[in-house]
Amino acid sequence: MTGRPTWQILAGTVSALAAIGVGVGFAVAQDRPSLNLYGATGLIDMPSAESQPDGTLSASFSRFGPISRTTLSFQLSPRISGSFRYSGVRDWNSFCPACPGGAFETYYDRSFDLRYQILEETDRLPALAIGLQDFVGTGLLAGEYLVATKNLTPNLKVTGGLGWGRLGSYGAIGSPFGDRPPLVVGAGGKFDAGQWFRGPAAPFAGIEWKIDRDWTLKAEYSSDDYAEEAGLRRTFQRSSPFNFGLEYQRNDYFRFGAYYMYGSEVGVAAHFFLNPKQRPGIGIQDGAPDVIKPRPSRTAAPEAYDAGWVEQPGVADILIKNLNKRLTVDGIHAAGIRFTGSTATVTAENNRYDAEAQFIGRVARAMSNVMPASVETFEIIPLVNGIPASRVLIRRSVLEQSEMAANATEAVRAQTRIAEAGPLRGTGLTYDPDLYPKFNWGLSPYVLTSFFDPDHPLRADLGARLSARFEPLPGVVVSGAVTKAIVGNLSDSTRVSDSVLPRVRSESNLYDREGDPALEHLTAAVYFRPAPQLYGRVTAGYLERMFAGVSVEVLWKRVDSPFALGAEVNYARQRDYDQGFGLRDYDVITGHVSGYYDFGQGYNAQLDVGRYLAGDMGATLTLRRKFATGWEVGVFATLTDVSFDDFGEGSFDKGITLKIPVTWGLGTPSKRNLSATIRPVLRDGGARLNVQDRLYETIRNYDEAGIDAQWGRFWK
Amino acid sequence: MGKVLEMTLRQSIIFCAVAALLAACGTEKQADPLTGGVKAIMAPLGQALGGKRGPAPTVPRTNLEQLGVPVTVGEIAATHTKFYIVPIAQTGSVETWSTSDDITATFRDGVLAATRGLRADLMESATPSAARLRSGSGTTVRQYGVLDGGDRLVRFNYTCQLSNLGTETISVLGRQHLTHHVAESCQGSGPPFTNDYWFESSGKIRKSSEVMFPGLAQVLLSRVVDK
Repeated sequence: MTGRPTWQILAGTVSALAAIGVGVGFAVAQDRPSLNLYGATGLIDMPSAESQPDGTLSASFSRFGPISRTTLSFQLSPRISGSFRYSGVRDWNSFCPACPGGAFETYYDRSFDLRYQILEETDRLPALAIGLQDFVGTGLLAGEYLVATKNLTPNLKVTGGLGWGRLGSYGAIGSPFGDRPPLVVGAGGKFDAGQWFRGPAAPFAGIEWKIDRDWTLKAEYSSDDYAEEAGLRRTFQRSSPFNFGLEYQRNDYFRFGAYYMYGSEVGVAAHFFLNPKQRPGIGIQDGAPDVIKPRPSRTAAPEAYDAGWVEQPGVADILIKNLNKRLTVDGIHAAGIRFTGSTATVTAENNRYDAEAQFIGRVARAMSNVMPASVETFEIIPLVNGIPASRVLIRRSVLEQSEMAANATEAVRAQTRIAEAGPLRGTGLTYDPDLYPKFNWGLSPYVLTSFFDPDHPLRADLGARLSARFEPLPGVVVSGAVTKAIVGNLSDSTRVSDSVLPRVRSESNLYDREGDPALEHLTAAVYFRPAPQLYGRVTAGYLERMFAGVSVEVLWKRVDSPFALGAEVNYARQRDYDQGFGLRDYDVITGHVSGYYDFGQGYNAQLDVGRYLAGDMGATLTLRRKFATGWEVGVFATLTDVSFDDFGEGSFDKGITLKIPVTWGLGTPSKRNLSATIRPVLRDGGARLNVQDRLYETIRNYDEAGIDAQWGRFWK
Repeated sequence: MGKVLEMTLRQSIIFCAVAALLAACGTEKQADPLTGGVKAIMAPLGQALGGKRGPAPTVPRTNLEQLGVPVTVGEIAATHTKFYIVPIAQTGSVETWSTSDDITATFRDGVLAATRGLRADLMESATPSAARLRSGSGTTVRQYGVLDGGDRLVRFNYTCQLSNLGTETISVLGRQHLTHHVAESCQGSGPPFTNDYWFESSGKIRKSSEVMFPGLAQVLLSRVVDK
């Protein structure tokens, strides 16, 4: 019984069914620790020793009196958390126009925190944590602490700690580790290690009482004197060390708080939590796959196993057409095929699935329906930009036996091998004649943002992007995109770069202002496999919004090794601000040798050593955590031979990267991501070229670790 | 030919230019990040504004019989959802049935054993045989494997107690059937649940009420047309 009869009268009655299961099963409300006004786990203005559930990402907005803080926090590992904060103090110079530190109506400052939970709470002992607040920056918010938190009853917890820096500025009990040396701020952005845990130390404490599931009362004794804000500049009056708050947990995602701060000010806070580990809608909604088609038994139908079909003229064309009949609906294209009587190899492009395993599963299902019975081994080669990324070997009989097994997922993985795919040239593949040349285009909205301009901390443009992609041959991609802003204020920025380096990035506002419409990129790229384990790319044209040129990259990578090594050399010439076809005079040879290491559990590191856009030499270290859902959170820092003074504000390039898969929010399959790089300040030192589709990131999802991360989707 | 193509391309670009403010278009069929985000935010709003579906209409038996294939009607009382499935594949005692919009349910020996095309699918399972259930006494063992929001397989294990609830005459879309009612009460690593089966004397399950997997609403399956 095969094929699907038509039954129009029943159509349209069931689409509501597909959404079944949204939010069921796993959405157990977490009793997560609360955040403080710094957006870090804690009381009101003071930290606590608790940790958020592993992987939690939170955005916090808080305000009291003249103080406002916007913080992004991430629970990097079960014990380590980090925060990046943008804070402002209003009326900075109102009372004290002659105070040092420049004239600002509102003083904006960026800061990073890092915290380590030394001990988890036990029945008898409290949790214990050590933390650094604003440890790399101007040091305005700098403070260090050692803190303990204990749940006395399920609804009552107490916190006590000792603070240094600004957390030791009120009610100090002495300086156990000596004096705190004065901070030389300079351009900011440097590690202030000499100050940590030095100078006066002061105790702080607080209590948190959970009234019911949603409401919490907090009270704390703060050891922060606000010497600069309240004392010197009198932006508010600090008349008491006690703070009080009432918080409301709306659901897993939102928490709100109202506070009475320092005996004089009212405060408010809103916290937004995300869990990159789990999609909010849990599952992915997609059409059911083809059922594995069983073969007749060899004894009952020996003629079905005759491999004589291999010799039939035109059989490859027929098979690939039949495969694509089944796969097109899944956004998959079988590009090439080769076979012997017992093995069939299919190269295929995945244009839909964020989960590589699901893509492989769908190809395997199609093959079981299409390939003659004598074929026992399926070899599936995923193609990325036309080149093979790996080779997945599955036994057909295992598919047949395990599809309905109670342990179907593990059973098929145990018998599946993920191996190297060498170059495809000369391997006897028959290509789908309909696949090339391939042309795709799209028109979609876009948003471009700019953060932390003191005149206007958040600027954004909304516009339309027209993009096109032409692939005349496997591995050859000509692509381009044009953007036109429709509304926004990016072009309002009049900030003039004060950089003493070649202005490779610091004039980005000129590109925003003059590039409307803009040719975002227009490139021709060739991807190739020079040898087994080697991947290559050459890209030429208008590479990115600020640079044109030629980029050559080679990557050595095994599918079963955590280590990979790459090298990239670029000739880049600066583009005109209007982002048309014109070029400016500045050009540079830039490039890097890159080492990549996958630590497992989604943690990976990348070290790039080489020459940057401004001609400076140095290295970038990037640490990333990638979740099975496709979320990626990373931090990076670049040190080059440009001095901190020459670099300017921030002293060196550093920032946070976020990659959010569209699938995570939508619950429908897609390979697209929203990416953001958040830098405290964008300067010219340590700047890299933004070339599209660098090899490592495009290939690695198809290695063993990449496929295994979402193996659960193989049978989906 | 070229002219026609040009016109079509130009027209679609103009159409898209208008549409682009609200949506993405082109040959790329994947969800666009921005448009997708807007849709994701708007979807619950639409539901809140009364976009909820009413009960699905009932298709008369004669229309179902005209299809010329077996038909099972499914109902999820909790969501007022009704669906119709027909068999599309069979391997031994394993049968896969599908809705008209590509949602499938697979039955092992007549007992729901897997689903596909739903957000939360029953990915894999161990289920008792129909004969074991029909006995109406003793215990059965069940296992459910489902994916969490990070595509990790989560298993639920259950032990169930069978009980014989006697003979019942049931009505399935206007036709009376004499059946034997068996209940299967399950306790395990997830929420408890009870499945019900109505067997005919031939051993066929005429009607059943089964959980797709623990924590999910029960689905009532009525085998309307046998062919």
